[in-house]
Amino acid sequence: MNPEEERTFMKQLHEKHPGAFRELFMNFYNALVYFAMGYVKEKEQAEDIVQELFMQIWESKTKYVSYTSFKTFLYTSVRNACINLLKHKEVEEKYMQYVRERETETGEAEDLRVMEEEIYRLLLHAIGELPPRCREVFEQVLLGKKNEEIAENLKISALTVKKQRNIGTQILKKKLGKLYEIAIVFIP
Amino acid sequence: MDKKNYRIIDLVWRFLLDDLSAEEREELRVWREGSEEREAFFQRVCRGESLPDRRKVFRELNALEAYKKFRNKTRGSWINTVWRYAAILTIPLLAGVMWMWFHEDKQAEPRVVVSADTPPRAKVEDKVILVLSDGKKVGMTHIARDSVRLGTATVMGQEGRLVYDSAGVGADTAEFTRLEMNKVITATGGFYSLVLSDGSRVWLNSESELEFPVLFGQGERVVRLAGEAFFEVSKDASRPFIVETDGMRTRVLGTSFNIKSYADEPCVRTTLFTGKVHVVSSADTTREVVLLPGQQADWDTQGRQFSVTKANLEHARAWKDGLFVFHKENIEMVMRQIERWYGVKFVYQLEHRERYTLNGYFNKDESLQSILDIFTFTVGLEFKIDGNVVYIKNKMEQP
Repeated sequence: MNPEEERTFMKQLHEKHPGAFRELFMNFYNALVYFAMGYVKEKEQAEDIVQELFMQIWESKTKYVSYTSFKTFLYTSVRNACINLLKHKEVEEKYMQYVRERETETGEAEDLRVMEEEIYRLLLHAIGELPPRCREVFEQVLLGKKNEEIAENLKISALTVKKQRNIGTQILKKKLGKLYEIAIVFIP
Repeated sequence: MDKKNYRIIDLVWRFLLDDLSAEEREELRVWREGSEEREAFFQRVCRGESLPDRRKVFRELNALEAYKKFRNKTRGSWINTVWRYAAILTIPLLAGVMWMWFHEDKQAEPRVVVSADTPPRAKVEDKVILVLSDGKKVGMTHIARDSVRLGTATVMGQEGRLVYDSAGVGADTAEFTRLEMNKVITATGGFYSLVLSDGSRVWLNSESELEFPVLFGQGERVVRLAGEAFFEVSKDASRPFIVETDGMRTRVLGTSFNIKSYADEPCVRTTLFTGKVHVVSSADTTREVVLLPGQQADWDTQGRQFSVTKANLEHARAWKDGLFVFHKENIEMVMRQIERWYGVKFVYQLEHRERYTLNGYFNKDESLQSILDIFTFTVGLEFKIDGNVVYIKNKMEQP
């Protein structure tokens, strides 16, 4: 989303526009569930937590200052909900230990988890938009595979891999252009 | 989260794409050295460590289903509210309220991003035109910025594609007496991709037309194609997806395949990538072939028969990735593709043109001249460009 789209999204979210909530699900649901699973392990619980959070947003009158602060709010809320759930559960000692460790993570460790989630969220989204062959190549690139390995795995020529990589990089760079503008704005 | 971390996200992302300047590399290095946790984070991301696991989990998740569940719950609360007020009112008023509520909801729901701009009118030079059900034409190439809503569709201006959204409108399952049809037309050199209301994706090549319902009904999902398109059809066993082309119907449940059906080609070709398709002659429904992945069916429009051969999948979908790929292809077939993209006409001043076969691998953003130069170099053909007409002759042949 570019800054303009972000503002529109936030405005519609505040107005409780169903379309904005659809966007919210399409863009964040998977990433947040995965993030929650880092704490609660079970998929169903993670899904409930995210669904519950989105319901809360629907019902609350809170206005978020910006798209970025809203994103931070999403991750923080999911984390807190997970920790609460773990606390309230009748849990074994080792589980409690795990909870305590998570709770005492430094601020930065938590930030890094959120950043990792954000990178993958953006990356997977962007890759999903690539043409299929290009997407196949790029998924392997992200796993740290070399061109020759990719060629062998996908049974295509090394030249094709190179070509597809170039095409994919061009497309992703274009998308990145937008992200870059946003990043620039925030540098103090 | 600290806002400057978004800068780091950007740097890491571009590091993955190998797109950092020396200064930015340094900036990232300094940040990484700030703590062990940062370095560990960086290494994790670069190795794509959680990617396979993430893929696995994501495959099991369905954000759209989750959204529908959410809508059912929130919609429920609306109904309660409406009832509470309606109870105080008389019966006719109640009916009125309900009617208005349903109408308003349908109208307002699928709006995703609303732009104040009205869509520009179609211009002659537009390479992609959307024809709405009322016959109104909208030029798509000029919607450069932002998303624009047209009925239930969102034109994603920046990505150059069109998305039909059904989740809000009571979905595809509603029964309609008449399907509202839209049509996308690509001109010479045009290219477009769209997402239909059932989530199926379609890439449309140059000089092609795709007609489709804005929302699919309960029965078969039927679209009409002239020209060439690549389909990635969403699975729905209860509603087969059918592509009607001149003389042929291609019936699938959920697969990806390419159909090439230009009027100036001698045959309609369906190439299957994944899944299973049935290809049937429209005139004689007993003529049917079933394709397996990697096969292609050619329907000879003159001889009225099918032939099934092994396909070269990479070549069949190259156009979609912005490439021309020719492998031992007859010169006329090659030139027809070039004509469609560059908007020229070839005039042959050649003897025995059926003897010429061409190979090549080109990017579509290369100039016409540079592609022709390569043919001159490899097969000794001489091209003379005169406006929109290109004359072909062999250097060796005497005029």
